[in-house]
Amino acid sequence: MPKVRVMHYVNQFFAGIGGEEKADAPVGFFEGPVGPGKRLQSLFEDLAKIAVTAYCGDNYFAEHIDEALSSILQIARDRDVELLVAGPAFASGRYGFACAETCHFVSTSLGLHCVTAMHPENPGVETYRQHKNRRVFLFPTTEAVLGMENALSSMAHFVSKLAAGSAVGPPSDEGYIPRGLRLDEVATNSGAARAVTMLLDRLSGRPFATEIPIESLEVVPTAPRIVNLGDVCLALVTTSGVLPPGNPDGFRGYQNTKWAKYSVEKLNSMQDASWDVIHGGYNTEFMRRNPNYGVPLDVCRELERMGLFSRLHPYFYATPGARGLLSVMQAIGREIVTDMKAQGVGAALLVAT
Amino acid sequence: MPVAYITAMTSLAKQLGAKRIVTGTKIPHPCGDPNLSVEADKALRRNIVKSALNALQTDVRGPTVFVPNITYTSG
Repeated sequence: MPKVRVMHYVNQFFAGIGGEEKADAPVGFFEGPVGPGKRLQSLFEDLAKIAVTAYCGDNYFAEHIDEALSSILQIARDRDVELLVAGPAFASGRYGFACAETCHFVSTSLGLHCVTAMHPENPGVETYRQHKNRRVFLFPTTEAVLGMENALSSMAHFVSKLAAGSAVGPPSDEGYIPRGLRLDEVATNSGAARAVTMLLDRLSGRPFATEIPIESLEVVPTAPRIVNLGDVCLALVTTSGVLPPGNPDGFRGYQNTKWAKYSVEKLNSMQDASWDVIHGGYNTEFMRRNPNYGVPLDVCRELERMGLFSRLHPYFYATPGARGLLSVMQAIGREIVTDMKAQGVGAALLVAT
Repeated sequence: MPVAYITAMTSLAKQLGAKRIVTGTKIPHPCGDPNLSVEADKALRRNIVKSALNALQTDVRGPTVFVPNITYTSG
């Protein structure tokens, strides 16, 4: 039997192009497997082979989604690819997003099965859930690259299954993250009998599994518009990693679990003082040269003098955003807004890198 | 509290449910463009922030992207 032709999608780092300084690299490709693809290939047994590796810089992808997707699709078309594997992306948000979008687009355009993997709290998982694509499967990984071998092994096992044409079971059997799709299956008992069994299991403290889980993404209500901005105190928030020199609160380059606020009361521009930039998720060179890119204090002072809003809050709020976990970031957001309200802030500008 | 979210990754912001999203220049420098002259860079930043202030004063129903009236340099 001929081997199924697989395309592997990776970012610029795993393609060996470079680190954050190459995050603007456009789409390119290599014939055959590269980097983690070599190990993946060896786990495929004899059922599949990586025909081509497509890559794209994380920033390029996020900023040119349509161009990137159509270039990746063309590479897949030119090589008669029959299946796509993307990642694993672990907790890297831009990479995870690129994997989820690429899988959905290639699957929809060519009717292929696609397999990807990342940490369950990677924002790419939300992209995957929203697409609800029956041919795309996302497997959970660890946060750090240390879990590479397990990630590749679960992807390879599933790819071999797809390549062999075997039937795919529900998430609980196969291990992929649920997409929120309802899958039909034939049950031996009626719905009434199953419901009573589940109720008895619950009442006796035995384990049970619902057939229709309720989606749990927090729905944030939309705040009403500001009617008189001229009466409102405005606050600045940034996830760009701009911090006072020496990083006095000990923030990390990624996965922070706290926030801080720093005074800009006496400043007319971020360039009137010196700042550090601590962030493990983008090239911070420009931000170091001009922190107004992440905390636009210079123009806010001008607009404050012009009376477009009543006043600028004397502090800006900061938490470097790289690889932040959704649950932690939700808690940080709630704490920041509580502090703002206590100090009379009525609206916020949040700058995210 | 209304928040204007300035980011170059607008589609991700939409999917995560942010309501007032303002298109920033690039991921490493959302508010401005280091390829421009100092004056043009600041004018770009002013336009982005003004667009954010406009977003705060606009009623939205769900995730909405506000695109500032700006042109970007390449790269």
